[in-house]
Amino acid sequence: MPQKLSDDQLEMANVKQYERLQRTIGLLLVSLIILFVVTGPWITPDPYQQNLSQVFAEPGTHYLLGADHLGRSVAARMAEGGRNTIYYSLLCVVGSVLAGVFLGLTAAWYGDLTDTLIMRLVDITMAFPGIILALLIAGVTGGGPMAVIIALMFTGWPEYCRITRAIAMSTISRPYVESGILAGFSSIFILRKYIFAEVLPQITVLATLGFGRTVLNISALGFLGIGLAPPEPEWGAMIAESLPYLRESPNLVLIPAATLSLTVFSFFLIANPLSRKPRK
Amino acid sequence: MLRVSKLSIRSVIKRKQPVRGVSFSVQKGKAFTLVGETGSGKTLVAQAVCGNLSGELTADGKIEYKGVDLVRLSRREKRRLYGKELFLLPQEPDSALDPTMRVISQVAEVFRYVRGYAVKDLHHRLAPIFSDLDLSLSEAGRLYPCQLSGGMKQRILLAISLAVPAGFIVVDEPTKGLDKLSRTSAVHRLSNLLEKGKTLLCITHDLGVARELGGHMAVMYDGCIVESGSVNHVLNSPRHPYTRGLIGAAPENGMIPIDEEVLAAMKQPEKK
Repeated sequence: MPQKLSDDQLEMANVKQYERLQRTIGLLLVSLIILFVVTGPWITPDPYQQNLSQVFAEPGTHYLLGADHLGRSVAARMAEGGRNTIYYSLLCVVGSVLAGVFLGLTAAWYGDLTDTLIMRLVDITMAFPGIILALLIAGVTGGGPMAVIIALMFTGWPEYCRITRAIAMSTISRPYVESGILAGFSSIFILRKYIFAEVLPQITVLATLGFGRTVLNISALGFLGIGLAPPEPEWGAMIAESLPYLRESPNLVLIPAATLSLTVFSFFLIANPLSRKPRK
Repeated sequence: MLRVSKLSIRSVIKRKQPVRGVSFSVQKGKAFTLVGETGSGKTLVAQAVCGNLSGELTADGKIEYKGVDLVRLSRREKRRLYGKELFLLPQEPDSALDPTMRVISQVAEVFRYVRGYAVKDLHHRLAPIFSDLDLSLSEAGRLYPCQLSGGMKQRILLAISLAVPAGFIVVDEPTKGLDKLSRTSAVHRLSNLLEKGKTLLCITHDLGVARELGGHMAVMYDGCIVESGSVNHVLNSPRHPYTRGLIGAAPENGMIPIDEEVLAAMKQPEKK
């Protein structure tokens, strides 16, 4: 006779099913976006090719998503812009994670003055608004994608540093880590084998969420005119470029805005179930 | 091999001295057992010897190991001794093993990363240790700590203590939570460590452990040593009323409670 599930078990099964659905939809959306961005150069025309006879062209066979105010293919510019945005976001997140995890582990392992110095640096950096800092760095360096990457990395690492330090400190005080230290394992071994193993799952979740946020930040900076210089396409910059033509062709604003929202949302869908997943 | 002189441990936060003026010495290849009731400061002495006192505690006095004063060593210098010279067999086998690793890997990584043996040598290094401890390399070795009994976890820790090159092993409460049979076998295995040339500093509340390990012992109460000497001498002709009370309070001697007057007379005013 099949065993009857209790209410708690049923609720847990429902939650798991819901989270699996979230993760599947998230992965599917991200895969579609990446597929579009990667295959862009083969399925769309040149993103820089202007055709003034096709200004504001409706979506069709040649212009999949229509043409902008200079007669350039929106689909091609979306693919090229997406590639830029995703590439720079990846650089920012990887840089922030590496710096944050390294400094967080250093602070937790050495403690005392090293910890105090690193954590005060975290406080100072966290108190600084990211966008303002990016404007400042762009102003000093003359703009460009490097200014955006440096600014976002500079404001991104403290979050990873704090989480890493907190997890590392709680792990260091566990008896098996203390036993490992007393058994004579080197600091590098203890940090890699015991502490980093605890930090990694949490940082993966945080970095997945952070990736969506970084895409949004890069686009926000692109919208403000910092980052890639025209005619290089970028989702945020495409929204800004098309705003004056909102009445003539609302698609020009809606398409990059919707894709941007969808990208951030899909990363949230992937990260959310990960954050609840218990470690095996 | 180890000489502890006038060791005092002070708590910075509580402004107390949980250990006061403790002195003893441990001879090479012999056992020294510190006995006393819970809270007498035995574990703190062990931690001071290993240099892993918690942050709010500070040690004063001298702990000389092979002529080096461990109290004055920096954290980095102490870490050079861990595993190579000193090893602590922890009090809680449940939490002293990494819960996410198979036990064989935990013993193997000591050979690999502390002693630097090649991966191909690990199996024939592990096999005699596991068979010495009546553990099957292919069965018990493949289990995770949560799948082992308390006695088996204790044996895995003993396997690690055999794997490390350290000659001086601090054993904290080796019989805690074990039934009589497992206790007898744990003590027997500690005696084997002595036969293999290791020196033991054993912390326990079980007088039987001291009797079986032999060597010397000290009785602690309220952070001080009240009596010390050879195990035979202390256990067979105790001079201090507290030692007599402790022996009388053992289960095999009828568990007679220690006289309250004796305890009250020994309580020392705390130095601030």
